[in-house]
Amino acid sequence: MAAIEVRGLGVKHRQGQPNPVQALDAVTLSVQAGEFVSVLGRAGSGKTTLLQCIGLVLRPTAGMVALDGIDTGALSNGQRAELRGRRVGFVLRDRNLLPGLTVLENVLLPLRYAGLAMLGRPGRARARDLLDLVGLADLARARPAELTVAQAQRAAIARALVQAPTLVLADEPTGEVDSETSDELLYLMQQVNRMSDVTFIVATQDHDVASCMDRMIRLGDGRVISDERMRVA
Amino acid sequence: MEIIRNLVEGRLRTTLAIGGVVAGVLALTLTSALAEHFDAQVAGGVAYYRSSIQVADSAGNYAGVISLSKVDPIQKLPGVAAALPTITLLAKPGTTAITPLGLPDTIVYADPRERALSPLKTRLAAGHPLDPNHQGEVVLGADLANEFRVRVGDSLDLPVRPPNPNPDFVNHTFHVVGILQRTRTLPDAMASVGLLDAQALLQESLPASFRDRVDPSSLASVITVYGKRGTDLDRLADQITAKVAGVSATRPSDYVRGFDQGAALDAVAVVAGGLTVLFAGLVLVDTMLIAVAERSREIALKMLLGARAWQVAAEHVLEALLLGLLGGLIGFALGVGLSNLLDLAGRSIGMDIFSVSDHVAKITLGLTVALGLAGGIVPALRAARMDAGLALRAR
Repeated sequence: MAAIEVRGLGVKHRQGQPNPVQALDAVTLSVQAGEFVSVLGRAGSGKTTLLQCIGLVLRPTAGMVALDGIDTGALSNGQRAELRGRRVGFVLRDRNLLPGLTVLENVLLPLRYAGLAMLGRPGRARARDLLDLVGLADLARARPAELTVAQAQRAAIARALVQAPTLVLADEPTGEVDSETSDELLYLMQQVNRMSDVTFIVATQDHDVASCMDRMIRLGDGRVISDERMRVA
Repeated sequence: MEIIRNLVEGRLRTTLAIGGVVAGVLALTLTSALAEHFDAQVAGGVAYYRSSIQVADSAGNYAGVISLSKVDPIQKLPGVAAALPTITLLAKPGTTAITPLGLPDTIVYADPRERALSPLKTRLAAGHPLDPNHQGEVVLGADLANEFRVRVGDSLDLPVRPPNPNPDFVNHTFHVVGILQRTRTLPDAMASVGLLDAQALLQESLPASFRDRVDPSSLASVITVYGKRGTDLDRLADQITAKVAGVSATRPSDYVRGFDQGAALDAVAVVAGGLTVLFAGLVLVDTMLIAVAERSREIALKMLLGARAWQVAAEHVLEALLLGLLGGLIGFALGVGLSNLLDLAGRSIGMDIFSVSDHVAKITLGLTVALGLAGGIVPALRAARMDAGLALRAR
């Protein structure tokens, strides 16, 4: 069973209004558990929309998305939020962290929304372990404003992993950092992918970044242009 | 914790929201306290005048004086339980008879039998009741004791000498033997004296040309008539006017109608208070809507991390509730403080006009909670319905 099954996915923005935009058109793909996949495309190619559909943030206007065999189309908004909270971690391009919370509190957020039972000592211990993993143990009490962009992205990776998800969706996570930091972040995600068997889908405009991953899916004008396996996962 | 940090970090927004609520609740507290005060006064007046008939002289004698010779013929009418002399005089002649925001200070004689018949019950806070065998004693209502700053055992000249008295003005020194508990109505502004003292004061208040022609022991201001159980007092008043020569009995319903004006003032005060609260509510809604707009990315991020719509909504309702409660408590505390200060300042001129009762506290704080909830719900729903995908795209 595939971790992600996408069939005939279509998203039309501004539907029913003048000049609707076909953001995704008949996208079909399948991702196995533990894969490290890049989605490569220019701005406006549909990368973010695809990630938002897979991450259950956006309801497609056509087609279906299944996560771990669950057809998400029939789920209510509440059920989608619950599934998203438990199984999907997100890393965005920037402004990942809530400015009013400390780094540790930001990492704990998914547990807070998943239910109080997951908070408390075990949750905090896991959050601290993850901060240690991403090299931010000393900055647990810092506020996001005190972090560099690279540190904020590392904190976002820790947060994406805190609820032990099966899937991490990273939307241009290296888009705002220099190449050295970009390499560090990719290495970190690769390590986590290898260690924990979490599936990663990373959207990027950078071919070099995409070529570091096991598989590269090219998007253009909302369609899959190519789907290449770079190396055996 | 996050909510408190949000409030601290958005100082300007928090200050504006709390300031709006403080202003609204402060105004509501003051107007409610004012209304409560008038309510109590009106309720006391209505209770008293609804239960008795006031009979005055109509034979062309000097206004405000009736002969006690009228008591017997009234008493003999069917339906009359008691016809009792009552003497009422201004305690501070030369001032207006009706204090705009309070009760007129009066010197009163009420027949001891009235205690059993009148619905206005009084209790002593200090001292003892008037002794019928002693002259020169006075029992003061709570407001008068405060206004004159006297205690049991002190002396007091009554009536109070006006700034420019007539040449024939006379007053007497009274010994304060008792002070009544506060009733929030008529007795608070009364100085109760014995019959002989009251009759002497009444005679002295008359013009010299009339004063010497009357026997003080035959005088009263009005005769207060109580009916037997089940008697229609309006009809009894008509009968008194018709059957007893030289008197005019006022129907209780006519007296009570006079209090409608007070009720209207009361309503105006409450409506004004309500409007300020509505204004405070709008400020709160506006502030929270701005907060939601400013935090659209944060809200979207929370949804991305698994927050359900109700969790996002609850956070915003809680924040609005906290703002409402903070503003409400500060506004209420300021309202209580300000009303006490104003009462303290106004006491010397008989303007003790605020009454912050438990009732006012419950209404004000209850409204504060409602305000917080109402102020939070609309923004919270907007936050909960936010399109997270769209919000995350906005840069």
